[in-house]
Amino acid sequence: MISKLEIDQINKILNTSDNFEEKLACVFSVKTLAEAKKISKSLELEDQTVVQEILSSHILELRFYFSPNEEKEGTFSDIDIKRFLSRIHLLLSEAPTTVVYSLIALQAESSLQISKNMRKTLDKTIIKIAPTKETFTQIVGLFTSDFDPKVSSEIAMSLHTTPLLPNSPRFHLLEAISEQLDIQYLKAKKQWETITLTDLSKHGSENTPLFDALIIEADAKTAVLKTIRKSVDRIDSVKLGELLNTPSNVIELLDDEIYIKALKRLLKKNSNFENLQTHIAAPIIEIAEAKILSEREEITVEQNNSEIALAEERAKLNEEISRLESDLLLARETLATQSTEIKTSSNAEQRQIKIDQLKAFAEIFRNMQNNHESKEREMLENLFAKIFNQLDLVIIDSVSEVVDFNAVFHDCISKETSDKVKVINSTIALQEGDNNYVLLKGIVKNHE
Amino acid sequence: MNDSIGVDFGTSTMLVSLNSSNSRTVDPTIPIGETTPWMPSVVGINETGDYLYGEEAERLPDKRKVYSIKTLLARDKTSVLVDGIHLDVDNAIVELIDLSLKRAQENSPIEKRALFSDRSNISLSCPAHWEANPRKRLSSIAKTLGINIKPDQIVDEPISAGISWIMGSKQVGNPIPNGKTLVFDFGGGTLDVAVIEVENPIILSPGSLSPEERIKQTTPTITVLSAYAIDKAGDNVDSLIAESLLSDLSNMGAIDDSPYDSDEVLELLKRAAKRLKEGLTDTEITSELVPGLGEIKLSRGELEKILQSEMHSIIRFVKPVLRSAAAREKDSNLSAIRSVSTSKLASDITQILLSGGMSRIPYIRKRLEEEFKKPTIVDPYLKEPEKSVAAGLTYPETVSGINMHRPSCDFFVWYYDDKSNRISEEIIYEAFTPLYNYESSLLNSRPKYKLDLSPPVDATTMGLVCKRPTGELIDINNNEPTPQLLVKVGRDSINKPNRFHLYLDGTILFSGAEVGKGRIERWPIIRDGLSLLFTPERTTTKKDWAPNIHPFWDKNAFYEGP
Repeated sequence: MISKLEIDQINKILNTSDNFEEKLACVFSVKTLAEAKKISKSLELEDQTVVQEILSSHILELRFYFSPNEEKEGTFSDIDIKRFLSRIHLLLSEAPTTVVYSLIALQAESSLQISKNMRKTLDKTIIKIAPTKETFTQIVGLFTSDFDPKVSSEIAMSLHTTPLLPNSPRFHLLEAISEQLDIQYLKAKKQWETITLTDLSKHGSENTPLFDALIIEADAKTAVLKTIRKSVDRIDSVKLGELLNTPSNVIELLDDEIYIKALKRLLKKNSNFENLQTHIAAPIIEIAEAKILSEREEITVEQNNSEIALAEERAKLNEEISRLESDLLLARETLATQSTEIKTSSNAEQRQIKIDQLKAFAEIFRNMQNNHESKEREMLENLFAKIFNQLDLVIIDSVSEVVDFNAVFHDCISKETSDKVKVINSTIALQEGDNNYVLLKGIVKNHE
Repeated sequence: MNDSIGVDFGTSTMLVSLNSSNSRTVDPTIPIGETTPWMPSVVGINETGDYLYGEEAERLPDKRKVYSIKTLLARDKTSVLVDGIHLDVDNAIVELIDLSLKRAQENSPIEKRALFSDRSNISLSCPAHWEANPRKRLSSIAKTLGINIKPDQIVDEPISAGISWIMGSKQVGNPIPNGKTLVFDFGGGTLDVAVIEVENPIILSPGSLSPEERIKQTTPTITVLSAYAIDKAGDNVDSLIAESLLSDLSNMGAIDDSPYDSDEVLELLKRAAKRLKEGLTDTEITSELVPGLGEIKLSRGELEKILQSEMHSIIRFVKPVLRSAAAREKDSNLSAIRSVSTSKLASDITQILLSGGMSRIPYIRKRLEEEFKKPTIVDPYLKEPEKSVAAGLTYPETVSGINMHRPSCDFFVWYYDDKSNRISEEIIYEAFTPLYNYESSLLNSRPKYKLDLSPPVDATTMGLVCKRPTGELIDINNNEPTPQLLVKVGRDSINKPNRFHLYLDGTILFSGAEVGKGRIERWPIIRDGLSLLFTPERTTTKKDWAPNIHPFWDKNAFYEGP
């Protein structure tokens, strides 16, 4: 199948040969993708079962190529193999279980021998074939009877270089494994290190059984939190939106620290909201102190491990600790300022200081509302509500909601305000006992 | 310092400040709004006919509320029609101020609440262009509330803003800013501008003074060289920006895809404009996300273009205030003042102090700095520039000692017959009347207030009398039995000798058959019976005016000044 043919040989085969497999090989031998597409179109591929069988057997043969103990046939290189893999989809009119099965099995069996780069190519090949949820259900069903359980966790690592988006092949694969095999196969740290905050946020806040199953696994949990922390380090308003939009069962894992840290970093970037730092300074100090302590303990544990790993890890942790200590210093300074202010303030003045800071926070929410599409916005509102709850803030109404006009809550942009209005921006109020004091009036328009 | 309360009854908002002798804070504002330090100055009538104030009134539909009730005092209106009901302006203001004081009392530390029961220690302010009548009305409204403040004790708003900054410096132990400062107070309803001069006292041996004397003697002398205001709403700036943005969006066809009609888009843009104009600080361009319209950008260049004509009129307004300040100086060279350039006029100004919400706009700061070549500052002792006026009112000792740019007292003439019986009285100058037309007079002649007198036919002598707007006599010549300046009435002169002149530098000319001339060095706000200081320069005679000094007249009785 993987051969190096000259163009005249290819032409000869295509024109004269009766051997279908030989003709099929031409698709993988021509130099350019355009030529490959041309040849694949010229072939009569009506009997997909035959094509799938040929391709599957060739894919599985690659085991020998990857095996370090086997003598390699001919002079093929990784490039030749990548060319073969990248053209498989040209010959398939549907997503065949056998081909995908072979690709996954190849990865699982040769996981130690396959380079990172080759793994990416294999993953891309599967993505191009576009298998459905049903395909993966069948494939995982096959694995249960065929494979050594040790290999099963490697199966789960297939596609781990691709995004874990909703309805993506990777998502379907993991879903199938969690449903038909065992959740323990999904817990590898490596699996979760590649999941980005953006991927998570695409799932929205709705509960997902897959994530629900996952969060009981300590390793997965650690990896997800690490991913999120990394994102928080480079937070901007879009990332904050994503953070708030992650599935609610993942959200459950997060301490308030994550939000506070995210907001704090965001605020640092935005002078308009600098006052809010004062308000969140106290919790940050407590959290940062606890975290420094726990990470120092982590270093002690790490000292029992190998010397090289220890040195690397220690360097990383020390870096993290320095960063946290500098956060802590900043937080202390802001809190000290606040304390001086509060010492000389009456309750009403303290309340005003708090309100001014909360207003800045409410402004962030409004900005986010204006920055997101309807579905995301809805989830975001729900998630913001969780943080708001801790700050005694209430979101009175939602974007696009049709409500009775209320002069206490609403600022109407239409002439001759009607009784029913549509919400453009939510009303945000401070709850004090039974009273709601509006911090940001909701922007509304007449509802036709 | 005594505990003192200041109420800034502004055109759009009200603020209350309390400066306590035990407190070390320099931001004395007591929050009185539901969620803001200030309360809206809004009055309204609901569907059942109840009067509502502050936030409650603000929530009423437009036809049921009055936004700038304070301006009705200046327009001499006693009632206003609100949805078919006559709303009594004075009563409504009484309730509004009362509500603000009650809220402030409730929100003050417990140990300070009693201060609000005795309202004798409350100071009020008003725009600098208010003349006697609105001040009298505000004083009368205050009296209903138990606030004992005379019309001449109501402080001009930009002056109060300046005092807040000056005394804030003193309170935290920083040097008091000496020299002249241009105060630019641009709030929601009026633009108030003043030039104030601060002179620090020189104390040779402060160690020998008692603490009370030291405080008294270290209080700076503050002179208001000029102050004036125009009705100019800050909100207008938001509308100008929004209209310009709307025009740009329409040209790009962006409105067509929006879910809102053009009126609605304009309203959305007005709300965005408020933040956009304040966002252009260090950046060349700023943006806001507007629902349905996406990211709306505004560059510094665009803002400058939009506000060009607005700023031009603002600068045009500030110039006569500066000229007037220059003319206030004794023996000022008026022809030079008329011809001098703006930057030259501002040459002896040290800085421009900004207060009021509009001073948050970086572009306004920049333009003022460019035009007058002076740095701008915002009161560093307050969190928001909106708080300056109320904060300044909490320094009553300072306020009572400042020297004003025009008399805060009325001048009368009492006419006597040949038997020294007073036969009639004529008011010749009402307190706070501008001495000249701000826009033009300085360009024409020596700025002065002048009035030809109309003595009754049987009057032979006339006396110049000075009264507070409340009617109490002020001793202008320090002669207790006869606190007046007496001259013979002139007769049948083609030169119309019976005349009263009041010059910007404080010179008073009271002429009849004789001429009484002197100079009031200072026009202080009067508290505790402080007298005006009238220094006679000379009495002159002319050919037609017989040098016949009336027996009452005793030039030695003039107070010679310090």
